[in-house]
Amino acid sequence: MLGVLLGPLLAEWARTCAASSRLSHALLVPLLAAVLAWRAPRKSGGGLPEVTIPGACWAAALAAALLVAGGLSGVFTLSVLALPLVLIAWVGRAFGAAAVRRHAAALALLFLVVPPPMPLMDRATPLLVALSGRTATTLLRPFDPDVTWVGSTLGFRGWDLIVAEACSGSGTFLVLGVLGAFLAALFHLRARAALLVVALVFPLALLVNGLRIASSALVIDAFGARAGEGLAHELLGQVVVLAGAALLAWGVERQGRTRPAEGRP
Amino acid sequence: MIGAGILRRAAGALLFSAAAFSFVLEGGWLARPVLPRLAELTGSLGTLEVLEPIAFDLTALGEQPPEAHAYLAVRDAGGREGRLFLAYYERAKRWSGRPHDLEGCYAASGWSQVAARRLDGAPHPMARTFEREGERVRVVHWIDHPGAEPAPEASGLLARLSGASALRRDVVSVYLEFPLAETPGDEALGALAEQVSAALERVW
Repeated sequence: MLGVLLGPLLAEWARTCAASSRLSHALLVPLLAAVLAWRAPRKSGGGLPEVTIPGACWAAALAAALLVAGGLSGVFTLSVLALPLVLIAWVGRAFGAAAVRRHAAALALLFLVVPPPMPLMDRATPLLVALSGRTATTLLRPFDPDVTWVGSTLGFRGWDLIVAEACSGSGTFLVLGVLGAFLAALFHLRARAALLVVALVFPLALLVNGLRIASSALVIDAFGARAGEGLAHELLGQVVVLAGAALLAWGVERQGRTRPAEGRP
Repeated sequence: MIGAGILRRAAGALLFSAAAFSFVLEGGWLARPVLPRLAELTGSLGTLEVLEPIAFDLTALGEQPPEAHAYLAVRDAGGREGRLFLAYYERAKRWSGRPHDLEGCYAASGWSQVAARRLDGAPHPMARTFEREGERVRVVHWIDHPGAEPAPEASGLLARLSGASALRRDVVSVYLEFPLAETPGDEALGALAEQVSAALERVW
């Protein structure tokens, strides 16, 4: 019944994420959380319903407050923030506190379905653009010592490349952030190591985005302006981001291998 | 244990009530959006004369374009020519509940903000001065909500809630731009914003 009532909100969330290149990764978060839930370590005696779950009650009350606040204010982020809390409340109510503890990683990951507040993104994006540009110019300097970056425009070998907002790096940062959090939970990293992984996402995103801009400039310089548009450009971007994701996964896997497995099935 | 049971039922009732509220609101059964008739914004908007529509590349509207828009050349009573842009968002598309911040749009096009202040007048617009390669423009902008504008001393949300259209999510993002050398004074700009907002309310 609760799922039915929250259906329109979920539909709006799916439409919003699907329509934005920076948010589309959020559609995968429920699937990633399901993977974590499936691989959660089993503990004997867990999963029996308990008579009272105060934590689940508070989660339910907080979710209710967020749904009302989001509805009245029109701030979509607030409404969506209620969704993982609803699930926490339901898991606690149906399966007990032990189940909430057992699936804590999966439930925590679900908070990444919440789009980051746009005012925050609007303040972070210019910084990401500037730093991505600096990375790109560093990578391109061997090819052109006079390469420049002004605003969001790359000056390379006498011509200018205006970098669209879609290439600001914010989408890459969000994708790698979700992936880092998922991998940290999947490999059961300790808190400090997990935080290190998440912290490294920012410089990795800058490197990936800088590399994407630099490679686009080289492709355009070699094959003309049309090579910097359409499917070829999109594919180049995806390859670079996938390479960054693979690098992140390799690093997390190496980190996870340095400590013995605990409670894995 | 009795107390715990009451706590559980109360939390459950709260959550179901909030979910029901979300259902009717998000499902569109409460406070349906209304598409404004922007094409009727012709002739005069108070003392602001509408000259002609301005053509532009629609891809500039981004990944989540507004449901309706109007881009108009305008002239004030003093003969100063400017541009008026209105963008209607049925669901305030941006996921924080608002269309894109104007200063972000201008920054993405290479403009640097050199001044900003809030103007007097019912829609309480912001007036910003931007500069790019020696060119300066003054831009007055605000997010127009359906219904009467709240009193300036009232909290925006609380004041809007007292209106019949309080729960409507649709908004119109408005900006009025003049070259800085030909811009009206701030008091006149505030008055123009009030007139545009009133004209918009008549077609919405």
